[in-house]
Amino acid sequence: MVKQERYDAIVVGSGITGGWAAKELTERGLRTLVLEAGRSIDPENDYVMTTQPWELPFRGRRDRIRQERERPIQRECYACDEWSEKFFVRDDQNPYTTEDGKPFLWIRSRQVGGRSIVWGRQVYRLSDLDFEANARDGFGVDWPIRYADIEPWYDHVERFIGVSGQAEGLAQLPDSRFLPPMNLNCAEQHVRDSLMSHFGGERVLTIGRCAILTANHGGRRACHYCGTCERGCTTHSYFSSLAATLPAAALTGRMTLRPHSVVHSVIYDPASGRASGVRVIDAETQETLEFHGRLVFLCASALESTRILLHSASERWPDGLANSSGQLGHNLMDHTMGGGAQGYISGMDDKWIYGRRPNGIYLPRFRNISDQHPDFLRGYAYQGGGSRLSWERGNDMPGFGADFKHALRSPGPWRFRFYGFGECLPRESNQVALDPDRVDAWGIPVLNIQCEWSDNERAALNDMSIQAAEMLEAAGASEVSTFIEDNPPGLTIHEMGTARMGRDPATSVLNGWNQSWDIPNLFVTDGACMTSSANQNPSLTYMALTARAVDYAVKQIADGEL
Amino acid sequence: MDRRHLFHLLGASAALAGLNPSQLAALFESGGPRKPSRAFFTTEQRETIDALCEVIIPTTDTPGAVTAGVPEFIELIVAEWYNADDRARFMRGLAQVDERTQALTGIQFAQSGEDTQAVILSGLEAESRARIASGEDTPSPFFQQFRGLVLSGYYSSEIGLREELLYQPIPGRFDGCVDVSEVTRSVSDGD
Ligand SMILES: Cc1cc2nc3c(=O)[nH]c(=O)nc-3n(C[C@H](O)[C@H](O)[C@H](O)COP(=O)(O)OP(=O)(O)OC[C@H]3O[C@@H](n4cnc5c(N)ncnc54)[C@H](O)[C@@H]3O)c2cc1C
Ligand code: SF4
Repeated sequence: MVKQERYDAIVVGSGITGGWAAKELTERGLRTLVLEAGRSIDPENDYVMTTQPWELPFRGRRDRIRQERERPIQRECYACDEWSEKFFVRDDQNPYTTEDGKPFLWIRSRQVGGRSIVWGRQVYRLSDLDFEANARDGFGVDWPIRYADIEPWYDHVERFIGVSGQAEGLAQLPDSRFLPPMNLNCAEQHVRDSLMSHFGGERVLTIGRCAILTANHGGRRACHYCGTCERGCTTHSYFSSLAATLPAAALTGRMTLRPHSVVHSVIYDPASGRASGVRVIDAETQETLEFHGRLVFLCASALESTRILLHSASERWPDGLANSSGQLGHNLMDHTMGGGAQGYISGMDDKWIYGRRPNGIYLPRFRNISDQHPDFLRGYAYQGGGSRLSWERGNDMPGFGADFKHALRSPGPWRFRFYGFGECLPRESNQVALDPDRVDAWGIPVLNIQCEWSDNERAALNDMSIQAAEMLEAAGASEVSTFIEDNPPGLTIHEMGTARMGRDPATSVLNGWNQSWDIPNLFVTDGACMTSSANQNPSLTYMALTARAVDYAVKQIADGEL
Repeated sequence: MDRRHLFHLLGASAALAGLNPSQLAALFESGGPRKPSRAFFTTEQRETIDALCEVIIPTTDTPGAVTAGVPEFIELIVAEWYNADDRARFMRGLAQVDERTQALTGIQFAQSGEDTQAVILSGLEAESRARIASGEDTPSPFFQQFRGLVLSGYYSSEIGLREELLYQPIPGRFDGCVDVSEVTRSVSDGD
């Protein structure tokens, strides 16, 4: 006999979206169970913010041989280093399969807080340029919402998480509710000014918009610019669910957070046509448990939520729960990254920075806004920034000895780099399905992922590098060189789209409220819901959609609809 | 991106050539968090490495590479981080340092005077530059490889980061444009 417990709402996952669902549900009075597959994280003991390189066996350069064994995929992520690798899954316990020659790098965290502990904290709003994109060029289906629908929810989320940035009044990148911006450094200010005059306001270099506090906010302390956020922030100065939303939910007294709870499937009750709860495997005891609730929110990250639905197939939905449309698992997207250029800025060797800013620059989309580029649809944006080279330049300098050592003591030349991130078109052939031949450490079938870039993404990457060089030249940079990295999909860690929202139940899994068309008390609010990818870092949009979906669901309950 | 660069410097790939049995055995030793075992090189090899380290980053107004523990770091990387190719390349290059010094002066590198050491190292550097300039797509020559290890070991040591560079664990604020002053030093980037 399996154990049974009843709640008003069940949230699967405690990462960026699960934390938001938990906060919003509990604050609206619902007794909420948050099920998290991973372990608890204790900032006092688990965060390694103050660990110095010389205190680590490999001085931060990772134990190469062990990583090859335990995290051969996760180690491709820049943040999975010797300090922070423990915040990433072990690939040997969490496998998935791909076809030969079609790599997909699935970067994940399994822990209370999910990837919010290691994320890059960059947050950008989408605009109607993005919400209308599919309708405009016919790729994918039309978003069921427009900017006006989500705008108040962006406000709501930003007020809570705290977003620093500079208002620029751009239609393609609406301003957030900003805390004071971090400053550009001298090289960046110079490039901004040069681009303003050269491109007549069409290409605006602005400081990165990030979920990092530049002033005390909501009981959390302002950033002290140590610059190593991925190791965890003991002052909670950047937004994570562990630091912000989960404590808010706990404060209501209505949240039960259960770690080590691997959701195996959603339980469907044919009599009521509703999801009655979820089946869970206790990761420590391997015991099977059931939990019941009036609402089920899947927030396990795009591909994990999709996997749970695929694994909850029933007689009624043999190809995955709530999959009348047949779209579940399809239209997988990520962003491309790594088209760009770098160069050196002279004339400011007497200038320097103080502190380590955990943020770079952003140069919003300027392509395909009012005209159409002949080679590609949609757009891209740049991150990057300026910095003075440090001791690493010694590797490219001649010499050794006292003079050599002394030269490396001073900061080197200013280097500036534009690094592009591009939109990915939704295509049905980019997809995930259960692999019938393989299970994970808890006996759950793993995903088979098939995803490839198309010519559209490649053409945009190419343009990114050309335009980056052009801008550096406009700013008078020297030794400008371009690059186009060959990064497989997944590595940008913005995987999304496999249970898309839409206007028509025949072609989409979710409606405009992140609600399953088939099962009204089932909501999916992580990246799986995304109808198109835009080119902005997506997590802010996931958060806003989550809060909006909770508001809707709770009103539906009040109205007697749910 | 600097981390990527480091990876590049430390990594590449192919055969277990040039290793003695105890060195091979050391490869398969493992354990929890470890300090460099110092069990990989012979005493003579260690003397050569210490001497090379100190010629590259000597003691000046701040301590040099040996005081900063760079030789131990190099031993750990060569023993437990390098793949077989890089290790073989390293061991070959290291042997050459002494062979050349012997041929020139009849004594070991470590026992030679500063001038001789500088001559040997300059020779290696010149060859290394020529190889790189030739555009051949080969792994970095020994000079480049060794100096790369010294740099990454020194500038991740407590001495390198705290005494040689400007150590700011908790800057407290960020200012993107301040004047360079006499005491301005590269900031430890914390990794
Ligand atoms: C290094 C890095 C940098 C990033 N930078 C940015 C950035 O700058 N801006 C941005 O917008 N995004 C960024 N991202 C992406 C961002 O982290 C994700 O978009 C975001 O975390 C997604 O939120 P989520 O709630 O869907 O998933 P997650 O935060 O991953 O949380 C999902 C949680 O669900 C749990 N879970 C999974 N399966 C189950 C199951 N079966 N049962 C129970 N629980 C389960 C997981 O253990 C996890 O804790 C970055 C990611 C990484 C790794
Ligand atoms: S840079 Fe700021 S937000 Fe990042 S870890 Fe340090 S104090 Fe926290």
